Amino acid sequence: MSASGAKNLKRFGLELGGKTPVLLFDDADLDKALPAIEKALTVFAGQFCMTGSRLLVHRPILDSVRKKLAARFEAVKAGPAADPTSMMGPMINLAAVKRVDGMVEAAIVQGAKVVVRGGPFKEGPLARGAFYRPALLEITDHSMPIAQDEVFGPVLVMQAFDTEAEAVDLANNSAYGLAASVWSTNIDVPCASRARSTLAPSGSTTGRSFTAKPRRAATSRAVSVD
Amino acid sequence: MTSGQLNARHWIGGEWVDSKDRLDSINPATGEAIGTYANGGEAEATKAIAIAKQAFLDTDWRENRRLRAKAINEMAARFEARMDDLVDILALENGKIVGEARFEVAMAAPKLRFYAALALTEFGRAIQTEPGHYSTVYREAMGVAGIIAPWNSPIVLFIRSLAPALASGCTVVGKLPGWTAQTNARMCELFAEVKSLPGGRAQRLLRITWQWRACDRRFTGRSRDQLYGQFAHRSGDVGVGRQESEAVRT
Repeated sequence: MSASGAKNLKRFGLELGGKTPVLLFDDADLDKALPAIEKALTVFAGQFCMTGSRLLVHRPILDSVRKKLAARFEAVKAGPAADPTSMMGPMINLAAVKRVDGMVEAAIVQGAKVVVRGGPFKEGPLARGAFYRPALLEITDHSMPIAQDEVFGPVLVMQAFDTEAEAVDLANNSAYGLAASVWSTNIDVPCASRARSTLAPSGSTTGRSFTAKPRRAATSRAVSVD
Repeated sequence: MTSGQLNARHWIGGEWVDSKDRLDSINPATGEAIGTYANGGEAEATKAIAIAKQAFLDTDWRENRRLRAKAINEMAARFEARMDDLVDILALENGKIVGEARFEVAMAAPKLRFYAALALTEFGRAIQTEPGHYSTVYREAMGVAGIIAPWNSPIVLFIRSLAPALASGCTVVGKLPGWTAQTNARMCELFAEVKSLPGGRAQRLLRITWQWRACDRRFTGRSRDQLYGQFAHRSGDVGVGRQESEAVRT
């Protein structure tokens, strides 16, 4: 569109996609961070340009995060808006469910480890709806399509890092650059603050702060990166 | 809401316009049809752009900033008054749970009020570049703005482009997604309630249609009956953008 319009000197504002990295350091307060990380994935059933879709976890807390986040994802109640206890609505249509599930299946074939499979309901009254329960996949290769392509659904890929530099490299290893967040109890310690200053959107889109997520808690802070 | 009751049409030149092609609107939570919508094409897009261009030329909208601020503030008030109505249809058709739908709809009025204020406070620039020489930059509306909004948050992602376009004095052709056609139509009902949009040509400042490719072609094309102004705003994935680009070339 941009190219065809450019031929006639049309001016465009384009907002494109995202593959938002979430950096979780070992000094983060998980009781505050994990609910926000869950919501960052499940809000609008993951159909959000700023969906937090890549979780980068400091290795010392990896096992704990895997276990706690898996429990949270399993407890997410997908259901219709008409049910006030629903925690996450359906995707836009069945074609979207099929597309997302195809991406997840391909990732598993390519070596992603399933922590929570999630996916469509196979039976019951919700099976006819376009529901997709949240999925958590663990990877070690950040070049995989599931880590590089925008899924636009409730699928989170998790990868461990050992050093701050590695975390920043992974976060910036993306064609997108819409949003990012950093979780730490002390944003002033070198680790988190340097991550903040060196995280740079690398894509062609305008950076936007992920305002739905931060909830700047007293002991745990998310930093939006433009 | 029972099946088949909802009927979404285009809103072009202040009138509800149908299309030969009608598609089903689906409740994504159940897979059931909740109504049908007019699936427009190049003819509707061309007509909408022509009328928006005429409204731009014939009314004082582009020059009357007080009128624009008044109308846009009125629009904000309508969004506040019909909040629950919009939340209901958005939740039904897009699938958002109620809290999320409310979160989206609640963002519309503040954005409109912000840009209504900007409509009154755009000063331009002036400078004495050297003795006796003055440079003045006075900003004027370009013409018709084409706005393409996506289905994931169709209300707020349309309003955030619509509000600055109207505030600056442009007229607008909106291309909204078929998958949220009933929500779009509900929003258009609300626009139709904005009394301060220029009388006589009431609501001709806005035309809303929904269909992808023909509309995109109209937004990017060159001929004079196509988009008069020179600004189009779209949201979507990079890949979709590329596909659209391919579609426009062919």
